[in-house]
Amino acid sequence: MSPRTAIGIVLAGGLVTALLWQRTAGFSAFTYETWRRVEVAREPAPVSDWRLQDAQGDFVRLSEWRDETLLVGFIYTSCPSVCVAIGSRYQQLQRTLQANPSADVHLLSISIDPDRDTPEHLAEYRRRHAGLQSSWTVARPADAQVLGDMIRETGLRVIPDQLGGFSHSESLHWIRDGQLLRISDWRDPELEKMITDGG
Amino acid sequence: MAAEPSQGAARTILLAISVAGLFPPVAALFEASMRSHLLVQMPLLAFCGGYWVYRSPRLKRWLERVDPSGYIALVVGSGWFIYWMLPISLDLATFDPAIRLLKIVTVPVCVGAALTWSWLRLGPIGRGVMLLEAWAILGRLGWVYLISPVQLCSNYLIGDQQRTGSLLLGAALISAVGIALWAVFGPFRKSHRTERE
Repeated sequence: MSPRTAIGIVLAGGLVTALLWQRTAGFSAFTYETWRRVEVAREPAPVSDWRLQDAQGDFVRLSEWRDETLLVGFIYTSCPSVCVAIGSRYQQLQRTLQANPSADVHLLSISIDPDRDTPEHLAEYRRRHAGLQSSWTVARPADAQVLGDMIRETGLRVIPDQLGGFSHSESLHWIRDGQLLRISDWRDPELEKMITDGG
Repeated sequence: MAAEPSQGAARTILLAISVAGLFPPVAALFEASMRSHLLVQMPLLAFCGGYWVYRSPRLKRWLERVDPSGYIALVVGSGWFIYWMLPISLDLATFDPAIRLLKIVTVPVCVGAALTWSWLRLGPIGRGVMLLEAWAILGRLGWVYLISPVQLCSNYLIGDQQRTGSLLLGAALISAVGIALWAVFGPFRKSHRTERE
């Protein structure tokens, strides 16, 4: 093997390794969902002041929870599987919040199916999971524009499934002061601790 | 050395097939399911690059100068092959136009053309290693897609992922039989060895 070939191989190997390193965020993220988490952990992403309609039919904005960290999960109320599980998880987290009144965390479930999820459906979803209005808001984006902003700013992926519903990201999003600070798995056993630590 | 007319036409068609993947209706068609994306479009793009190397004397002369052993092409080709096997790359190519463009350029050039060139240059042992490695990747990836309980691509449903896994395993099985036949009847017979040895 000529020295030129050897140098070429080393260079090509280095470049290819750098390429894979960059794509997988240091060989830690092989799927889009984990990559999204790593990216946000590295650099928080700004989110605009989403206008939402809650289960009472009132319009609210993210900035109304200025002094609190929001734990945002995306759901749709006719979802048969993961949204039910996320609802139960929020129910547990709500108990943690009740036990720690000083924790400044607010739970927020936002529908990705605003056409079907009327305030009545949202209220029913919260009732089903024994949600308390004081610590858990269930809402839908006020219009299609807000829904588009939410999806773009968080990097959420939503695709239709074959049952007339959606397949969507199951992650929970920590948002404070217009910044998406962290993305967690809803199964993460550390969530309780993060809540008592104030997000 | 001018290309024969038929060869020029073939090249134009292959180029058109590759570039068509950038136009939204064609992109949507190829990317509609994981199966058509990974098992139809990707091999088609790689084939276009491979054919280009195979039929272009000018490109061959250039490669002969730059990478006479085919090893550099092997490293580049393997790296990009792995890159496009990552679920995240497949995902991004469906909704990030920059990554889609990257796919249209690098799968023919950095995977198809590079691996074809190294195949042409390598001896029977090198070719054997390449085939076994390709086979192992098909098997591993197929297995992961088939058994993974989570949806690995945000843009493809888990049912699609499992069917893709089955097809990859099927391809691995067929190539295993092919490799076995090739190993017995192919390159290790003296008459088939390349003129370089």
